Amino acid sequence: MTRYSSRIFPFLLLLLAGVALTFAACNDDDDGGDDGPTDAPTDAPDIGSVDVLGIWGDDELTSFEALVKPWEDSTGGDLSFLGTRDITAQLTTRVEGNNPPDVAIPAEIGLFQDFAAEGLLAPLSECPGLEAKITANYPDGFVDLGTVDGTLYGFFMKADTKGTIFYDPAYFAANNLTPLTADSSFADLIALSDEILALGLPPWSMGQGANGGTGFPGTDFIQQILLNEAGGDAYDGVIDGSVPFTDADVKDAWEKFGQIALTDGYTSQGSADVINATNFQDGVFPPFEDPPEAAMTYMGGFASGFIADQFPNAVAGTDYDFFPFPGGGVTGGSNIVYAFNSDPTTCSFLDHIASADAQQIWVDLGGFTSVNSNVDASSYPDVVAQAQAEQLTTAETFRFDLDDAIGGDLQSTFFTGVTSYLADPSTLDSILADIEAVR
Amino acid sequence: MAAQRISAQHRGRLSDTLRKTFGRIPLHFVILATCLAWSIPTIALLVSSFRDPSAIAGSGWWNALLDPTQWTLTNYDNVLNARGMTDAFINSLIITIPSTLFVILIGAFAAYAFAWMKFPFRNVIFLIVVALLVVPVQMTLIPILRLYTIVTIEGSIPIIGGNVFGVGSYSGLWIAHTAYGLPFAIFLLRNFFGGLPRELFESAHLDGASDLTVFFKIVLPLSVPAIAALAIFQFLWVWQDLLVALVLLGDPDLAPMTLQINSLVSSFGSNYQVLTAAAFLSMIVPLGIFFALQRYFVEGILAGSVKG
Amino acid sequence: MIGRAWWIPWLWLAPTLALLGVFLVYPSVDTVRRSFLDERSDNFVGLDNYQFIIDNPTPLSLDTHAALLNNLLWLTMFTAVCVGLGLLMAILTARVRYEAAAKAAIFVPMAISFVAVSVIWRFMYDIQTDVGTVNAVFAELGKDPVAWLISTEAPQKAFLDVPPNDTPSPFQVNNFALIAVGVWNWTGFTLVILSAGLKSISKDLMEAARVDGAGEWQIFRRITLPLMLPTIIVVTTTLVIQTLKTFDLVWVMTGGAFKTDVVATLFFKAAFINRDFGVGAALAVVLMAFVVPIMLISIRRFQVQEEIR
Repeated sequence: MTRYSSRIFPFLLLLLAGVALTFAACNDDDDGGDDGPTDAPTDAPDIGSVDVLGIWGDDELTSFEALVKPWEDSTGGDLSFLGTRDITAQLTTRVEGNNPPDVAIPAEIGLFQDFAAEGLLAPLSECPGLEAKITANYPDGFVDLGTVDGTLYGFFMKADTKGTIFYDPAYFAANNLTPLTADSSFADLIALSDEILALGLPPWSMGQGANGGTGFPGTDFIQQILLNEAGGDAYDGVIDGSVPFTDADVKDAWEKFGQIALTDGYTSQGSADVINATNFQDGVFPPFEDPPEAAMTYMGGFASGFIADQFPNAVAGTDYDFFPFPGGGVTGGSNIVYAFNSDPTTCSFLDHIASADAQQIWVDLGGFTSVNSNVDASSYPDVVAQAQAEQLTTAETFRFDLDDAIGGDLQSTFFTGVTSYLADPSTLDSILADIEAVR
Repeated sequence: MAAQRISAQHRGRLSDTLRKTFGRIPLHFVILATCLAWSIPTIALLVSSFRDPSAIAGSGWWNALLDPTQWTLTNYDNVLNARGMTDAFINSLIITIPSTLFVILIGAFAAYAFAWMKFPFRNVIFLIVVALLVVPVQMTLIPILRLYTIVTIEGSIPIIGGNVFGVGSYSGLWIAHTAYGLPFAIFLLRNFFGGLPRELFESAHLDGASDLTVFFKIVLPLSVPAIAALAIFQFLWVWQDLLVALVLLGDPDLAPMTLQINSLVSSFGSNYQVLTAAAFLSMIVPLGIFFALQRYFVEGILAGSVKG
Repeated sequence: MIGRAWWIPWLWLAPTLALLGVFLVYPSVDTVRRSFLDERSDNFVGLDNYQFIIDNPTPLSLDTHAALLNNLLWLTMFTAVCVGLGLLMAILTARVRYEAAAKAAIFVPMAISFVAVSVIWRFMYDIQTDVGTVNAVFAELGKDPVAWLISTEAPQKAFLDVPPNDTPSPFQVNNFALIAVGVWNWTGFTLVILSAGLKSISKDLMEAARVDGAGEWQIFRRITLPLMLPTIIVVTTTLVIQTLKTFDLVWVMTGGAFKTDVVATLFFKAAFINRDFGVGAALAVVLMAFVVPIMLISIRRFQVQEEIR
């Protein structure tokens, strides 16, 4: 051992030193800045750090940190954020392991409701002034969603509308097509599709593939149809269980979705197999290719971000835009913020991020729709983002994303059901029964 | 008899010549073909790391080979300049190196005991140790997290940072990784130790050597290939770990590279193309260890040891 | 052997026993306990969770039968190919001067993080023929593109238009596609360990045999194989057990969808997404139970080896 050790260590040290130096040399702007207490000058005492578990990464994380920075500067607090897309598993593990974060910011509320019912969360009323602030500045619908057993436990930020059908305005104009409005009907959508099909272009592009969530675009589509065809009460019924998945209204929504996805020639993907195999982001691009490979694509508002990334020269509103899902009913998702304790640091942090001033920061950076009614609609960075925000805040009928509202087993079974349905539409009844059985 | 031996030698020489001329070709062909097939996805990954995201999703990676104007360093730029990446790199080292060393040391001690010491229930315990290979990590995290939460000793360790023990501490992570790596380490090392000739030990003991002397002066030097193999894999697995760090560390300031890279991808999965560049940057150190330890995969260590 | 105090072996074993006891044994026992309790581990439910696994009442949510069959497929095919290929390459590369480079080419996939593996194979298997490598090759050969990760058709259908169209459950194109990724990833492991084992065989022994006129195949059968058998067994056992735990690869590539679930992904879904710790624990126990037959085989081999030493 002694003979070899004299040769291993110098070699390894050299290797490690070399790699470390390369990293250090390439990494100019990284300093200890965010690895310790903030070095911004502050008079306030350091109120400690807040441990946040969320899903954001990349630009989202950068924007969120910008949103939090004023709080850090004025209070000396420190944001300790961990983002993971497997947040449900993480939260479950940490809660079971008696080590929950201070604050959680996931996108589905099933787990939130479970935690609240089990008494693990701190009611917002425990933070001075917070509950009043939320009830005053947030739409009733969102306040209700954050309430469990009569107590307010969470509030919402970063909402997304799912009532958007994206299209290329230039193509529509060139072919004398009229985008639909909120007053249109589903039959109008089919008529439009046929019109485009007659022009020789597949009217739709659709992709269901998503790592771990394959099938979610289909569920979004189905819930939109359900809301607009069967109404808000039926929708609510599906969430709370009074309307089973085997109900006629629900089945009808599925079949209408099937009509779009499976009618011959309707999708540029061509067959159910290809739709299932196509990644959901890839499924959004065909209408904006040159020449276009499809005319419309249904996806939530966050798709405008993908489109802008994939086609950097595309101008919002001119090269890509959306029209509202026919019927006027809007479903949407949002991140919910809730806390496991009501420590002063946590409360101060929550207070800050719920405020319109803080959220304005992210709105300006793009990719964020606020539901705080004090945020000015005209401050959104481009026409598409603005239209999405308006759709969310002015919708006559708004409902939270169905599978996010239920969460857990039912949600993942719903996803799987969509892909199974596409692969074999004749099994719809048994699929619906299976989904209902998991409730 | 002599005639038979001579014709055998003739035959030997002819087949030798044949073998030298043609015999090596199939060998090289098989090896190179396999290596090429293996490398295609790796090359695809490498090429993709030099492409824009719109290019990656738009066309196959081989197109980039034909069109050099597509090549860009943006992905590497994004990873290297990402906030906290240097610190994350150092954190990865802080987590991985001790974990690897502890596993080798503790595992080797246990393997030696299992291989060359007699004690009751020796085989049963060994089999249980090997059976523990099957325990999935996710399953252990909840009870361990509970335990760690109770025994957390807060404080700030100088230089490396983090708590003294428990949640958010490097020491907690070292011990966890060591424990997770032990079953494989013991299984592998015991096999090698057990294969050493009995005579070695007998002559050593006759000369009055103690267990420790035999362990350090005879067993370890002769098992260098096995220890090198173990070091490569333990280092690799801890270096690539995401889940244990996420759960037991819980502090982004102490995060290893895997966590940092993870946060480069948005919640929708956008910006996934940085993962291609990140994969190669993250690969450098484990590959470096692999190459550095290749020299210990030497033959004939045992040769001459018994005669002497 | 030598006279040593009774407590010395235990001293050498102490750190191991302590660490394993806390980190692996205690959670395992806790899991077994939970498998007899309900979802939130509050009430005793006897064998209900195991009954759930046997009955498979909600295949759309947790398809236990498909998962068990898939695990069997992985255990056999994945292990056999990895070990076989690793052994072959270990022996072949030992004879060429560029051994280290050749081994490196096969080892590199192990050094790639599994998220990056999923990214690149997502593009290898992509359905669009101008993006997906495999389907591009298929297009060149005039064949239809295959949805590698989705299709549950019989595997030979992807390559040849030969019936049957559907083979029994685990034999699906997508399972084989996933196993291919696994093999690509893990053969480096078997290669490195087997190579280490090969090096431990005395070269003198093989030279002596060659001088005596033994052919290469004879040397392999009579000398190399028997002497490497312990290492082969270690690698195979480790790989088999590792396969039982296979989670990351399947989870990241398909999330277990399209009947590619394995017991580990089911356990994860049940415990961490559905928050049903009863069923999750039962699945984990089933997983761990798979290891018992492997241990039984090892016991027998052990006793044989002990007699030789």
